[in-house]
This record gives sequence, structure tokens and C-alpha cells, in this order.
Amino acid sequence: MRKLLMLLLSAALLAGCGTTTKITDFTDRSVGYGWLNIQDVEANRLHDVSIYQFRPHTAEPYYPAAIKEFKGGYLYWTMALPQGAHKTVSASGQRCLGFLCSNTTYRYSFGKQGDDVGAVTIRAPGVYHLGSYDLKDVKTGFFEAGKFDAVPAARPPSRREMLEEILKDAQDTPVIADRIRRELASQR
Amino acid sequence: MKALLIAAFALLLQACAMPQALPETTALDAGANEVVVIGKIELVPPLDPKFEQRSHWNVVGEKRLLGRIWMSTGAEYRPITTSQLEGSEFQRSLEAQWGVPFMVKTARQRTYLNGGVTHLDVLRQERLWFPGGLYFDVPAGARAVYVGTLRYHRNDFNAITRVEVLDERRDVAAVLKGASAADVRTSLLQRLR
Repeated sequence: MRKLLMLLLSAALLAGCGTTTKITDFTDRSVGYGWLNIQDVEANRLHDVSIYQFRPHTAEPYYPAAIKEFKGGYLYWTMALPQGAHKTVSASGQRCLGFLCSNTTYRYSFGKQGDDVGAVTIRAPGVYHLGSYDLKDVKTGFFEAGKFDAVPAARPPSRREMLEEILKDAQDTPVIADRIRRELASQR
Repeated sequence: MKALLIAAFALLLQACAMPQALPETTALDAGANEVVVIGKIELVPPLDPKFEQRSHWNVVGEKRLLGRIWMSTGAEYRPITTSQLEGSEFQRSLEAQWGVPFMVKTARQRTYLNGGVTHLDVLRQERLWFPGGLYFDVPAGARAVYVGTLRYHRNDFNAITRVEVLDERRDVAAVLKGASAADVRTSLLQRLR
């Protein structure tokens, strides 16, 4: 009986862990990329950026982005966006000194309302820029929760610089690499 | 020093204020200083609970939050704060199920809608906000008023793109469940100018 209970508990725990479907065919997928400068907020190391699919509705709307420290901020991208409406929905990070990081995770949520930050509507497979932003802490009262603001970045890297960086990571996915090269060519 | 402590205490209390819903009713039973209000609030396209809301087994009371709109009301127009939920701004909150006619009691006076909120995920504090800027009047002698359907339209990113007020008076008969609707005066929501 105890064994059965333990098995059921383990199964329930495993079911609680989120899983995502692995994408192997990128023919109808798009690249979404952006850049965040976090120099003016509490966190100084990003470890998670999520892109959310608003439309069409899906059971798996979150696309975790790849992240790389780049030109004084963080470059993030995904190669898996299907057609539809997408938006950068959150970024999370910690305050670190060298390899030592505080145990506080700072979550910057861009909210699920409005298309002013990091939003794009994809109608055909391609390469889409989600924007470059400076995150800034906003002063709040003693009893208020912390707030932040996202404003268009003052000194972002160029789209070309960002795409050249992403291209290095796309060599194993020829269809995506070709799209990025075409996008780079169109920027000349 | 004492004043500072009192101010800090007042601030604490304000921060902790729990939203208070206007009392629901099923009959035209308003007291002398009250009026029964009938109407409906809609979202187009409607929320899809399967994909757009997230429920957690360990969040107590989330049933009061999901699938409903909380509309801040008051005797003056004071737009709500949309960066975070301030309980003190929802002390006379019109709480209605989306798309379902409501019947509540409120003070007998011109009443302003100061903005609304709906919850998508209570644990992660994900919400959508809705603009106010409307009011309804209570005609002299009216025991009950019908204020219309307040319809919000949203785009793919949940930004509110249009707000309409429609006269769908058949809703009065639906909430009164056979009782006479003759005592319910129409006083549709008006926009502030």
C-alpha cells in the first residue's frame, strides 16, 4: 500500500513538471530576437526570457529564449515561433558577484496586455525583431511592491550585430540559418 | 512623531484593504438610500478559460477571481491604478461574471465606473485592466435601473481597442426570472466628457 502511494505521489510530482514539445521541423517557424539592458535594475545576470504566444491559443504558449551576454546587455532569441501574435512576456535574473549569486530571483514581467513592448505578429515565416529595451527600476513607496519600466534602448547593438551572433547558433538548423542570411542580406 | 506613526499605520491599513463587492440581489428590494442596478459586462473576443486563465489547486478563494471582472465604482470619478491592484480602490466593487447579467445594490446616487480588472493567474498576479470613465444616473423615484451592456473589445495583445454601451433590455427579464420589469427604469451608462 505504501509503495503504491509513493508511486502515485511520484507520478503526480512528475506530472507537475512542465514539458514542452521538441520542435524538429523549422520550415514554418520564425526567429524572434531582442535585446535587454539590465544595468539599471536590481538583477545583473539574466537567466530566463520568455516569449508568449497570444494568438492562436495553444496549450504550450511559452517559448523559452536562448540568452547570451552581448554588447553590454543580453541578446535573446528563439527559432521556434509559429505564425501568430507573440510578445516578450518576462525576464528573470539574479544579482551576482562573480560566480556568487544572491538567492533572490528578480522577475520582470511585461504583462499580458498591450503591444508596446516586445510584440510582433508573424504572418509568414521569417526573422522578426522584438525590440531592444533598457529596463529601469521605478522608485516606489516604502509599502509598495517594486516596479520597473521598459524604455527603448538608448544604445542597443544593431540588428546586424545581433543577427550575426544568432547565426553562429543556427548552423545546425539550415532552414533558419538561410532565413537569417537572407535577412542580413536585405539589411545591406 | 505620533503623526508619523499614525500616517504609517494608515498607509499600512490602506495597503491591506480587501476589495468589497457590492451586494448581489435577486429581487427589487432596495432600501431607502439604495438602488438596484442591472446590466452586463462583456469582452470581445471573450476570455478562453482553457488557454488564457490558469488555476492553482493551492490558491484559496481564486474562484471569486477567475472568470469575473471587478469594476471599481464610486460617487466620484477616480481612475484606478493599473500598475498593481489597490484594494482600497475596490471598496465598492461591482463584481460580475463576464457576459452574464448582474443585479446588485448600490447607493442611490450618480455612480462612476473607475476602471476594472480581471485575473488571468492569481498566483503570478497576471491581470487585464479595463478603462472606466463612464457613469449612470438614478432617476428620481426609481427603485431599480438598467444601465446596459458595457462591451470591451480587445486586440490580439489584449489591448482594449473599443468600448461600447448597448441597450439589451431583455437582460432585465432574464435576471428578474419572471417578476415584472416595469419597475426597472432604463438609465444607460454615459461617457464622461
